[in-house]
Amino acid sequence: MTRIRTLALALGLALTGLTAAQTSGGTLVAAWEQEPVGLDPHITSARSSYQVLENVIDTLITLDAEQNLVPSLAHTWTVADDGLSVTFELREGVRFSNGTELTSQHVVTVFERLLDPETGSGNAWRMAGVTSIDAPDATTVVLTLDSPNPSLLGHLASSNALGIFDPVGIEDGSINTRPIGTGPFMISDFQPGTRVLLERNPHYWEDGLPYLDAVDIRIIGDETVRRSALVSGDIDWAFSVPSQAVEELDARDDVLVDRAAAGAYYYIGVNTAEGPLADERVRQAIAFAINRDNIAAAAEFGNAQVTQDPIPPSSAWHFGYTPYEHDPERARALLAEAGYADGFEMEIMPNSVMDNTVRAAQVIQADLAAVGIRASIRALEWAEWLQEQGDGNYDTFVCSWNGLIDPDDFFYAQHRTGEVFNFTGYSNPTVDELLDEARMLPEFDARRPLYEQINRAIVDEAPYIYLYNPLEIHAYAPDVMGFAARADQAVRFVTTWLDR
Amino acid sequence: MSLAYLLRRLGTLLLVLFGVSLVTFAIIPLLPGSPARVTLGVQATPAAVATLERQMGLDRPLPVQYVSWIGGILTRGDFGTSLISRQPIRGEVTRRLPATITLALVALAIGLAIAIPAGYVSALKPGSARDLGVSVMSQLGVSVPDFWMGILLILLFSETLGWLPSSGYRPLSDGFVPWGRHVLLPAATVGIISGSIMARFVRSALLEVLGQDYVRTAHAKGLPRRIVLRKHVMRNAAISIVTIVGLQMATLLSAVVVVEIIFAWPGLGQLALTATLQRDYPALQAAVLLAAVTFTVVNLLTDLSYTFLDPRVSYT
Amino acid sequence: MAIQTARPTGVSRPGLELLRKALRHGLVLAGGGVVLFLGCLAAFGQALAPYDPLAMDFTARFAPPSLAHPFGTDDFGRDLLSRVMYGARVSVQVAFIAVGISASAGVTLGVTAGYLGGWVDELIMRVMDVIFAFPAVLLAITVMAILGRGVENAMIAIAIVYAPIFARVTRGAVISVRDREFVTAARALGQTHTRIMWAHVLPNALGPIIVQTSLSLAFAILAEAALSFFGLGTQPPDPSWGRMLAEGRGFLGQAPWMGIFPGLAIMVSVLGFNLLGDGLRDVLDPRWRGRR
Repeated sequence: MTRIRTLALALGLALTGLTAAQTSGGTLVAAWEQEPVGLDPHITSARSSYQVLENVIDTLITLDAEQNLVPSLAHTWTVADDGLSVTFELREGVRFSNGTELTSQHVVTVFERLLDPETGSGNAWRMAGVTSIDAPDATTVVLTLDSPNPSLLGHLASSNALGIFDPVGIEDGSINTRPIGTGPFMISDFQPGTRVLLERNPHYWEDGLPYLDAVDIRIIGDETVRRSALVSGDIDWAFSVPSQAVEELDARDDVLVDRAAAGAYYYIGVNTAEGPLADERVRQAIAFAINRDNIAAAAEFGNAQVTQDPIPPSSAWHFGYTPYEHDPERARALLAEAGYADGFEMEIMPNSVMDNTVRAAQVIQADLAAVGIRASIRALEWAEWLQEQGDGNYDTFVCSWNGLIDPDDFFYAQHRTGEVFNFTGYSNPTVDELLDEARMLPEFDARRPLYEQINRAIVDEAPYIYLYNPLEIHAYAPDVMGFAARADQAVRFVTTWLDR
Repeated sequence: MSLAYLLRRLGTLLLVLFGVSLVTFAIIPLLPGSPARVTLGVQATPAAVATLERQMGLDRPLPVQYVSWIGGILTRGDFGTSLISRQPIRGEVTRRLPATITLALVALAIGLAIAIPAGYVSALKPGSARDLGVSVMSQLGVSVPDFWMGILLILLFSETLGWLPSSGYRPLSDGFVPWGRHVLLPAATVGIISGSIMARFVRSALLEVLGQDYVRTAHAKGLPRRIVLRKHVMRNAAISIVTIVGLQMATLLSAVVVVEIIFAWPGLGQLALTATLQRDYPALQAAVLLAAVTFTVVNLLTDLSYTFLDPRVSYT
Repeated sequence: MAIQTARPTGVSRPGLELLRKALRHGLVLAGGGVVLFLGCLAAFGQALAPYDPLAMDFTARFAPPSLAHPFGTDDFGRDLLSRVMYGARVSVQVAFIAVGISASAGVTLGVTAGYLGGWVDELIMRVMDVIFAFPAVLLAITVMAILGRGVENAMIAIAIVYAPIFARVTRGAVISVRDREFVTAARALGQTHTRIMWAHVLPNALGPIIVQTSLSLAFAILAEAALSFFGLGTQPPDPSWGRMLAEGRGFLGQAPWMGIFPGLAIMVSVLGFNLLGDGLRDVLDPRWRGRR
């Protein structure tokens, strides 16, 4: 079953302002695929943690379903003409779930902690350029920057790492397990590895919301088990179901599959530091050698859109640059040109937590074998994978970037010379200049041609070989209403209700 | 059983446990990957990793880390703080322990419920079709991979028939029925396998007692084999069965680890695997240490009960 | 453990008679047959397989068992029969090498401990106790985490897990023969400890070790499957039964054959080694009962 029916219903309700059909109360039993790795918004980087925090902590501004910036804790915001300061006016009368009233001083304390190097936050970079945070009065917050950061608003809106919580939890350490936010739900029980219980925040600032009394989050790591738990009714809502099961679940009446094109992409990251792979022609040969249709079919069972550049068609920034096709002859010719007519040996490093990357790697391996590149697969578990990637200890890896909105998100951190997430070692001064310039420009029309050039250069020089844009897929019982899969992969239960 | 023997066994036990704690501790810093990096994720900068490692106390010399770790456990029952969830591990372990114990005990009960009747039936008439049936079942039990068994049971009872939930744990305080429904499949996975294996041991234990003089005498008195088995043999074979149960603990504990993972059962086995994957050193240490301690103590008790129950066996 | 007594099989007994006895034994025949078949599969499977086990065919994904694909195909359209045949090699290789390492280490330690006795015995056996104190799966997973994944490391992990069992079994058998007259005689003749251990004691304690080897091979196949099932053993795309089962597990709904045939292959092989072990035990020493 697909979601369209309910979406239309929700829209209809919104237009007519009717609320009669929505019933309050009830507990949604939801299954997460991974356990939240700590809940301190500044420390954790796990998606599973943020997907919980999404419902507990509000950001100053947020994104609507169409990915436009809209008010949240701040009802208005102004960016100075020179881009060196941003002023937020906070909504009045907002309370944390413990009853404390939110003031601008809370915002200052939280942001200062995020930026403090002692905190060791992996998210401080999102507020790059911010030098001071001030609270001239109880409802005003001013961020001062030493250089403009055009991604700042996007990060403030999309990342819960930049959300606001009651700083009382910092001293007593409860921030790790029970951060206190202003969001629709509050964490009332956190049992690592098994369960997170979210209960309705009695002080939530939006009247009448949330509808649900509670969200009971269970951790079910095994996708097969998650699927059967959903089918057998043990859970109401599943974070993701195995992509191979989507078709079968779609055909069922008792499960609803909800999809959205995600601001995400899967790619082969190539270590450009040395050896054959340092040669652009070899990387292009790989791009020609692989059969993206087969990769997407094997990895996602059709729940993906093959692509050669990163930004998905659903975005206004989509370029659709497609210089490659599946052409083993061309690949062999390029290899010969680069002096590797007899091929060479290399390694593909998928991570075993993401089964789809392991499946993709197998198709890539077979495709490369056909052009003479002898690739071996080394699937690592997440911790080890991160270490090896961080140390540059790989030839190629298969991974994804998720939750991307602004084109800057798609290119800057990944490809700008010397950036921490530039794991491929790619460096192109022209691209650097374009990246620096494009992120400062305010207007879409002015930025687009620059990003188009950047896109072209990256695709041509192939430090990343793009594979496909995935779909964000959730599956749930048909009586779960008012939920929708989102392009930014956020999971929000604020308007969810149960029709039972 | 002499006191000296008991003391010697206890001394050895402590020595082994000390070794276990050393091994548990020593192997862990050898693991590649850093918990700080896992916590910080893809976006970890080297500086952030270093800061976090310092906060986690991972920059201290290993002996210092060991002493503070073992000292905490022995003096305060403090297993340290999870590097990932940043909660005291003691709470986590206390929360998970009942789940694992439940699973192990119900599995053992199912196992015995299979093994004793099956062993009895086959010892009743060795060489009969039923005996052969039990042997075949027993051989299959040893040969079936436990993870495969679990999946097949989920497929049949949970998905196809829809009778039982496929995952999760309910404490007994939630009521007997929800508790039972959740524990049945994982416990059956372990129980069927270990029951099949134990059936063979029960059979040979019974046959051994049957071969003894007083049983032969009972036979000679004209008592039917069934009565002899029930009256004399079962009671005497109880000793061997205690031993079998003790020896099965190894297989059982190992199977429980696997089954916990497949059935999303929030026990110590699952804790150990996630902790390994996340490099949550203290949590892994706690889980492994507890498992090893349980196992070692059960082994000792098995040996001691053997001496205790059967005065003919004496240790010096 | 004092309850474990092992009788020496005696080198004096003519080997030929033993062999004849073994061949008459039903379990040995059945188990041996399965093991032999497995061995052939491992040796010639690659030549006999109808398809390249790595060849993908995206037009024939999830094909049910048929004449063209007797075991069906997997999610990449690879022929499962060919993969199962190739998998035999991995399983047999891992099992034999792991048990080989395990037995060499365990037997050496067990002979040393049992023969020398005293503090050496105490030291070796306590160390074995420490290793033995960890649940097998947990220990193997931890060892794999340290060494890194891969077939070679899986062999080492399995070897470490089972070495203490060999040490115990060997020690028990050695203790039961070390005070017999031929050993005392050899000592009186002034032979070195090493020579006595290997030339006199060990051959007379071989029975239980042979039985344990066969049983351990069964467990090694299971252990390799479990490690691969958790993604730690064989790396994709190499077909190993455990890996195939892990892969098939996600598709049991739409392609049950993916989970059934590799599982059956594991079960049958393990069964073969178990039957062989049990049969050998009967033949070599009917009184000896194994304690794992």
